[in-house]
Amino acid sequence: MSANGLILRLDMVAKSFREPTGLLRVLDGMALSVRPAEIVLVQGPSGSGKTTLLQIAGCLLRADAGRVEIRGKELNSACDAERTEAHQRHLGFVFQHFHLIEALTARENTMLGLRLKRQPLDAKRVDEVLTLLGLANKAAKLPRDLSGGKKQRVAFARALVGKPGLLLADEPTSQLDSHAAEAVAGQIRFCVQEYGCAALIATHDARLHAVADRVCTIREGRFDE
Amino acid sequence: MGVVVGVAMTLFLVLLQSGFYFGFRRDITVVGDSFKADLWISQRAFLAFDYVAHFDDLSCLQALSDADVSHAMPVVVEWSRMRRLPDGAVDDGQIIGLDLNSGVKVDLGTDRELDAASLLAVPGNVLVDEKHLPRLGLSKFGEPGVEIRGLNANVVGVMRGKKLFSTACLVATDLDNARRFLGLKANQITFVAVKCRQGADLRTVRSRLQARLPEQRIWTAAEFHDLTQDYWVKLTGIGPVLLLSAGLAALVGFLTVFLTFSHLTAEKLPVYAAMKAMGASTAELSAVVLVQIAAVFGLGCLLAVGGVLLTLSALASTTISVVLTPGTAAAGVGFMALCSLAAGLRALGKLAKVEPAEAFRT
Repeated sequence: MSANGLILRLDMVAKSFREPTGLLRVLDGMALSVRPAEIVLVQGPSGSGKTTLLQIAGCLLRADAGRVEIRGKELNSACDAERTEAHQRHLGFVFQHFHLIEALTARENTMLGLRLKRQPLDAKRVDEVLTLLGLANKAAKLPRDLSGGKKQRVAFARALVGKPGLLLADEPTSQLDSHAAEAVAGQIRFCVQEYGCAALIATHDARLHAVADRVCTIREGRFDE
Repeated sequence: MGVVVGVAMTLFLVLLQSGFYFGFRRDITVVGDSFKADLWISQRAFLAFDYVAHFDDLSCLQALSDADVSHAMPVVVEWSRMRRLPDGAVDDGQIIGLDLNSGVKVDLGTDRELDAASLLAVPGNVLVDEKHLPRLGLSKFGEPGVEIRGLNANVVGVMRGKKLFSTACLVATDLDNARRFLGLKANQITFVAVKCRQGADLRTVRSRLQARLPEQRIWTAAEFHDLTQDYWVKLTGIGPVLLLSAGLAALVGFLTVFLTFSHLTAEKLPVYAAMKAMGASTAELSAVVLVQIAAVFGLGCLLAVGGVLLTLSALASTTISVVLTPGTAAAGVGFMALCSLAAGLRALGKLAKVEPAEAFRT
């Protein structure tokens, strides 16, 4: 655990993109802290910088300025190897479009989460996560045989099996119907409690507010908490 | 599965079009190549085996008088209309008249026990190519089946593996029979097939014969083959059209395989980006893509080869010629492998450029 007890800390983070019309400033002095086992929702209109924030927090994109700390270690100016190491050790990802491997079963997709994190392929742990997410009887199914809600649960299982400190999820319920979205929201809360990991979720979905500890809204490149 | 079928269909087309082209090349020289001759004598203005002028058979005797010539066979070749007797329909035929007792061996593709020389010496007796037999509608051999320029011809046997590239019927008979059918004079011939003594220097013999027969042209067997092949392949539109078809099949094949594999990778790019975001290296993902391409290529090849074998078997009894040697098949598969490799390299290029951050956008 870091000295300040935070899993993620963003301080004065700025990011701009060069557009044909000029420089587009997406994040402008952004600050955010996430504690272990905390669920933080990030909301804001399309193009407000939610996804950019996740990319920077996930060490997939470097900020132009500011500090990005994961478990107390500054990573924005760190070398690629350090960023990769931190991102493999501490982070788990859930994507809007699931991005499951169609040729692999739910169990194999979950196992892939361990493999990509260079962790031992522990079948027991895989089964535990699948059971926790209510997928024990779907473990042998291919993604095409699963509903949208079940697919997203497999995506969560893949992200959680490596026991990340921080789960980064981008619009995890946008592809789901109301019933499935509520179920996934409940699962997120349950998993966070069970695994003790924090979650930073970019979403438009108000149904997720019920499970969030905090809701942050991006306005003009900053949080309006 | 769709990608596998696409690759299989492409390879199938490439192999089959090549087979049609090589089948055409074989058929245009199959008759001339059946003679075990070292030299050929023709009229000076000679275009191809199928388009010829006749000359006096004295040149055959003159050839035989050369000390290094062991045998010489006068040959008559001419196109003719034929009427099928069972239904009266008109058909085309190429009549080949041979002197099978001349000592020059000819592979007519007949049954071994068939004494072609004796059988064809009987007035009116002919052999036809096996693949044309169903069109003639004959119920049995030895009875008048066709009429050539008003004269009845008795089909007494078939020639296997000998057929013309066109739909015309190949008819072989004795020299005298052929002259009779074609209305030629008793001394008219079209070619002389010359067999030299073992160890004779063909160039010397050829020079001597050329000097002795200034009105004729002397060819080596290879020149005779090439001249006929070049005429049909290069000078007429048939060869270029078939070659173009084979070339187009190869081009379409290249584009199909290239685009199919490119599409296969392009549509998975968001997933690859996600894998990169979760920790996969470009090398690991490249290996996945290459294995995927190799598997699709392998399955496609198996399916294509199976389809080609089935097609060859279905075409075996028809007049359509397909020549597919192991070399041609290997070249076709090799070509497709190169296409797949090119597509694979392009896919790897795309993969290398995928940013893990894109996983959150797509």
